[in-house]
Amino acid sequence: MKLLDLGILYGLIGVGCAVVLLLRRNEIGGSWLDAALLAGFWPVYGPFLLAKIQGTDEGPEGSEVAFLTALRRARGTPLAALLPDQQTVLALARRLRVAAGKVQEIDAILARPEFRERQALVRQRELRDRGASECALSTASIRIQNIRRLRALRDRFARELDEVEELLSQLRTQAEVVRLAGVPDDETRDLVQELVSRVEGLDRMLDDDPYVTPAEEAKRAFDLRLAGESDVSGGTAEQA
Amino acid sequence: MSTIAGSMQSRPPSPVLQSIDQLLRDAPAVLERIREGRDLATLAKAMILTIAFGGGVFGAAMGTFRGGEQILYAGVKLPIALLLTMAICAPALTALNRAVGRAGCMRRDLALVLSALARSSLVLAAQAPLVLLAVRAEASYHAVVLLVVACCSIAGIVGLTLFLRGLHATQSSGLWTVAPALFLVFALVGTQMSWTLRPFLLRPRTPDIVFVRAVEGSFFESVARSVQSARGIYMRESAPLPSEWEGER
Repeated sequence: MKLLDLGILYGLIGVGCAVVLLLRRNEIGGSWLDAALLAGFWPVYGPFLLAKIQGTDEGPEGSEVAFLTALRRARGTPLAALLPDQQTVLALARRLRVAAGKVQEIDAILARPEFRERQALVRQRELRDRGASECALSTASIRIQNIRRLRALRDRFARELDEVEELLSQLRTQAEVVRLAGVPDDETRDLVQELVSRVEGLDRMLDDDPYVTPAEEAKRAFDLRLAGESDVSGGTAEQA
Repeated sequence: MSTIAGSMQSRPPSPVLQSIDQLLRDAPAVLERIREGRDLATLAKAMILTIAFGGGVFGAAMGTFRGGEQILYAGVKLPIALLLTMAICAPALTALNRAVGRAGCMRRDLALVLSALARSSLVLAAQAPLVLLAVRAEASYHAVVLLVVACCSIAGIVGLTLFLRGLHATQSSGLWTVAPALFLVFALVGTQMSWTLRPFLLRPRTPDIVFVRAVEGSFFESVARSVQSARGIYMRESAPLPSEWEGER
């Protein structure tokens, strides 16, 4: 095989991979830049994209990197005295990563066909029109509720992350002001405290979520409903 | 919060730019990220773009020795040579790791080699003005060749340092078996890849510019000839023009 043939084969594989990525962009994500990189350097970039699609690549860590970078920069200024110690910083950064990962995970779940609210509503209407059993209707309604809960949870995490990002942006500029002014003022102290408490609060979000019910509890409620239905149908059969 | 919200600043840079920033400012954090296997797709994207940029800048600087289309050709070919070499060699790292009983993960190994190469590319880009200066000072062809080799060596050492730190951070056992073996593979493949994609540096009097030349000879013969020529020992009266070279064949 000549060099040219090898080059053509390499190019064809790359273009093929890029076309597949673009065609299935809605399902698996990915941008034009991803497609371009895949077309040119598929042996290098392909494994990473594949892992991302399969969900084995841990979530986005943009917020975590921004957090660590902002605090590291602030360490070189008089703000350093107000900052938490290194271990706390790493623990906080990990929380940010977990929260950012949750947003991405929920996005991936909501992108699945069975998690589309419109479809779930249509299905519920169909069941109602067909005169389906109470249990089937109730299951369809739980499905809709779960989709809404997921969306609400995702929005809460995303909103919190946005606010943390804004605080980090402010910390970056504040660090410059303090570096030039020499002494951190009360506003700066408040800013650092708020940032830390916000990141700490990310952990509690799942626990505080009024929508989230423990799996065991949900299962028990479902079993009870089923048992109730079977009693009713059993009673009807006996009467007949 | 209201006072804070009142002084909101511009949005933070994209994750890709943050990854490049992390490579420049905080290499240990990059190594930690690779070790934990966190968001390697973004890291890989950032590193590929860095290699494309750094290699492209240095390649274009080399191309200015001849000027014209060669600036574009060399600017495109150098990143390609770097990335294709990496694509061929990185799986060898996983194989070597496994062979000596170290933990081997294809994506982490690729990410480590990419990061080391990206750091080298940034050093290459930083040295591009040296090449431009040599071209501006009308240095001879062989002097520029040696300058380019020196720049690449410096960049290589910087990248190699990060690579060794990354290997050591993962697991220290078997390090001195894997590192030299991969270095050898990388050197052999890299030299042959750049030889295949030559010319990067063309003499100004070359009339026709080609994207790649036909495959002939080997890289090592060419280096030996350049060193001899730089010392004033020439194997022939003058370098052949492409038309003559075609005739020789």
